Formats: sequence, C-alpha cells, structure tokens
Amino acid sequence: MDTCKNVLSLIPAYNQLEPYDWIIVGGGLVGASIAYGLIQKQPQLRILVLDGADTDHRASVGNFGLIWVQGKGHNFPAYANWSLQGADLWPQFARQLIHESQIDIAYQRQGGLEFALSQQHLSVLSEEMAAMAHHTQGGFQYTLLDRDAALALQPGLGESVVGAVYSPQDGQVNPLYLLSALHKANQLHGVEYQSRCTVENIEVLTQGFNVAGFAAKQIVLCAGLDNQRLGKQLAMHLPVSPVKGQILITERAAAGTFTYASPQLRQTAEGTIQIGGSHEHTGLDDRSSLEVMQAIADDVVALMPELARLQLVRSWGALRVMSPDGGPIYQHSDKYKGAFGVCCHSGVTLAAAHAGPLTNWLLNTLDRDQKILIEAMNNDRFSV
Amino acid sequence: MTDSLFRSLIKDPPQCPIVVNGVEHQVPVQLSVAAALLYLGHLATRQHPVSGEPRAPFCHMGVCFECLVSIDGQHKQRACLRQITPYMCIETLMAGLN
Ligand SMILES: Cc1cc2nc3c(=O)[nH]c(=O)nc-3n(C[C@H](O)[C@H](O)[C@H](O)COP(=O)(O)OP(=O)(O)OC[C@H]3O[C@@H](n4cnc5c(N)ncnc54)[C@H](O)[C@@H]3O)c2cc1C
Ligand code: FES
Repeated sequence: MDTCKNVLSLIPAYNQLEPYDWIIVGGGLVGASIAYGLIQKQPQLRILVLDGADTDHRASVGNFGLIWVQGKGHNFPAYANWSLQGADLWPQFARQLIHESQIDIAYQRQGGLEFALSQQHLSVLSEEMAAMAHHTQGGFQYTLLDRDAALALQPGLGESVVGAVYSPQDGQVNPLYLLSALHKANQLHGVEYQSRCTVENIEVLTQGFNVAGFAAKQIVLCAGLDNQRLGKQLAMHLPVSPVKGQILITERAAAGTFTYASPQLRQTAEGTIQIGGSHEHTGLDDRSSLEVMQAIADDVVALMPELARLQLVRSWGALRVMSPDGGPIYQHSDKYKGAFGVCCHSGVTLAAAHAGPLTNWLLNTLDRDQKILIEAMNNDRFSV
Repeated sequence: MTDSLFRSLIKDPPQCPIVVNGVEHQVPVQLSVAAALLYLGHLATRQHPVSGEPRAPFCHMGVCFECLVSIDGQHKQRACLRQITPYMCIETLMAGLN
C-alpha cells in the first residue's frame, strides 16, 4: 500500500513547518467540493488534500451523474430540504466552476422522471413525493403522470409503464468532468494535493493533528468507505458500508433518444445511454456480473423497447458509500476540536451544497437555521 | 475519400477483393476491415450521431467504438476487430440509432 512517506520529499520544505489550516483526507467528490468551497470563501487558507491510490474504491469515478431530488429524504425532513437546497445551488455552482476550470461539465437541469411499473408502485411514489413536498413546505415541485401524460413527455415507453413522477428540479452532469473540474479549480486557487497518499494513522497533537507527517489545525475526513476506520481514531462514529451498483453504457445514439434524467437511464452529452439501478451487498467486491447486467438490460428494455437496438460498449460496478438510512453524515468530533467527518451517498447532487453551506458550517460562519439543518444530519440519529 | 496515407510494408502483397459501399476493391490480404478502409483512403467511416462530425477508427483494439460500420448486412460492427474475407460487403457512414 502506498503511504505518504514516499511523497514527503515532493512537498516544498516550508510547508512542513507551518501547520495547514485544513487537511482534507480523501480527494473524491466530497473532499474536492469541500476544498473548493473553503478556498473560495477564504482564499488565504492553506489547504492540503491527501488522496489515496487510483486503485482505491472510488464512488466518485463510478457513479451515475444524477443531480436528484425526487424522493431523497422523503422519510428524513432535513435531508429532503438539504437535497433541494443542493439542487437549487447547482446552476450558480456549475457556472462558476465551468468559468474557473474551463471544463464543460455537461450540467443540465432538464427535469427527471421516475417510472412506475405498477399502480401500487405509482401510489408509493405518490406518497413519497407528497411527504417531500410537505417537508420542504412546497419547495419540492413534482407532477404525477399517468401513462398517457408520461408518453407525451417521453415517447417510446414500453407497455409496462403505468405512469411516472416528473420533477423539474432534477438534472444531470458528467461526474468525471465534475471531479476533474473541481481538482483543476482547486489547484488554480492554490489548494495543495497529494495523490497515492493513503492515511493510516492520525495523531492528535496538543493543538491540531499530525496526518502522515503533515500538521494541520483542522481536519475533515472525506475518505469514502475508509471514513469508518479513520473516524474511530478521532472519536467519531461514521457508520458507512458498501452497496454495489452496476452501470451499462451503450454506443452513442442520436440526441433526444432519451430526454430526461432518470435513475434507470440517462443520455449523456456525448450520446451514450447510461443504464443503471442495481443495489447489491457484496462487500468490497466491485466487479460487474453477467446476471445483474442482464437484469438491468431487461428492465431498461421494458421501459424503452427501442433501446434493444443499441449495442453495449462498456460496463462497470462501483461501491456506494452508504449510511444505515441512506442520508449523509455531517459530524464533528466532540472529543477533538477541529476534527470533522463527511460521508454521503449523493456526492454529485450535494456537490454544490458541500462547496456552499457545508463549508460555512466547517468555518463556523453559518446562520442558526442552517446550522440546525446540517446538524440534524449528524450521527445522533443512529444511536439507540 | 482522399488518396490513402497508408501503404503496405510488404512489396506486392497478395490481394483480396472486398466491396465497399457497393464498389469492388483489391486490398492486401489479412487486413482488418478498419485497416482496409484506411488503406483505401476512407479517412472518415461514420458520422457522430449527436454532433454529425466525421469519425474514423481510433484505437484499433476494440475499445473506442469509433470504427462502427456495417459488414455483410450486420449493422454497427467494429471494423478494427474483423478481418476481411473475400467479397465482404462493407458499408460506411452509418449514423447512430436513426
Ligand atoms: C453506482 C453508483 C451510482 C451513483 N449515482 C449517483 C448519482 O446519480 N447522483 C449522486 O449524487 N450520487 C451518486 N452516487 C454517489 C456518489 O458517487 C458518492 O456519494 C460520492 O462519489 C462520494 O464521494 P466521496 O468523495 O465521499 O467518496 P469516494 O469517491 O469513494 O472518494 C474517497 C476518496 O478518498 C480516498 N481515500 C480513501 N481512503 C483514504 C485514506 N485512508 N487516506 C487518504 N485518502 C483516502 C480515495 O482514494 C478516494 O479518492 C453513486 C454511487 C455509485 C457507486
Ligand atoms: S478503432 Fe476503436 S473500437 Fe475499433
């Protein structure tokens, strides 16, 4: 395993004397969004991102790319409000990030469709959406569509589709471009970044922390699935476990083959159709498997029969960073001041919220209501 | 089509007839379909279904899917992964789904 020792010599010597203001452990979407938000709010901050190896499990490079509000937090009011706020912050966040990084991250808020294949499923969706709208005081907008209305929006739906939920607040982005745009912008702003730097131990100093030979006043754990192990060292309970998702990619098809965002499929800016939606508990095994790929393909052909004409060109599996209730965890260590942990299974949707209000929370510059909202998503909810 | 930028390294290689877009040509035996098309000067072999840009074989090892052509009536075959056979019928410029 790579450790930081072999890259220490690459860091300019003076940096090792002065403690960093922040060390962020993990350079996935969560760590990169937080670094981006911190440096934008306080450009004088010295920030170091320590990232693991390219062979690590990284949800940030295997995900579906949806900015998805529908149903997120229907049973968790704070999360519902947070998801909506995150999606609403996205347009401005995307503009700024594209401007700074000069990378077109293919952000689109074209609205999202969740399909129902039975009347029973449609009524479950309908209840969830009503709960979302209630939690957000009507902020969450949606329309229940019967089959004809769904067909009017998206022609070509299969016989088995009985209806759908449409929300104009959902959208999509190219998640790989998003991650590299964040890293590029961070670099331009002077955030330091070390890859191949798996943090094994964090030492608590009288003031601050020693992370693999680097001193920091404050630390944020954003190490995805490794947060559980690292959290323990800082007296934080960060319960996350892997849930595998498999994704299929078709050859490129004409634009408009599928117009909306949806958890089962979306069409990328390049024209490929991305197909997904599986959930498996297979530990740290992230390989794709034929049975699941076939099941995903069958499901999507039931939704859109004409897709059967397209060839698949790629597939992969990736591990979600899942908390017991699926919601994010924003934690500060009661025991060690200046230590924080952030885990979430919606790092794309919440990227703008993480760069925005969450970094205000870390900097302790939030107003009271926002602070209450974020702290409603700490780990207290898991204690019995 | 332009004059080919490619030529065979073997002097007077044995030839194989193939049919490209309805026209019969002689090309060196054992080429891949992609190589045969480049040899004949087809610098673009299809249009990108979204942007309409001309596209051509890129990776020559089956991963980029830029080389899709129709072979003997089968659509969207990767030209780089198929070897030519006598009188194989190849159609270029297949647009995506439509
Ligand atoms: C199949 C799938 C589909 C998804 N679809 C969506 C979607 O449509 N929309 C959405 O919003 N979200 C989606 N997600 C979730 C989203 O991808 C994750 O929430 C997000 O990527 C989590 O980012 P992260 O930075 O916490 O974790 P990761 O991407 O896992 O990054 C963690 C980073 O920490 C590093 N690291 C690990 N351990 C250490 C260590 N000890 N020291 C230093 N560095 C370390 C790793 O190298 C890695 O770079 C999906 C996830 C999956 C798997
Ligand atoms: S040239 Fe890349 S797949 Fe054929």
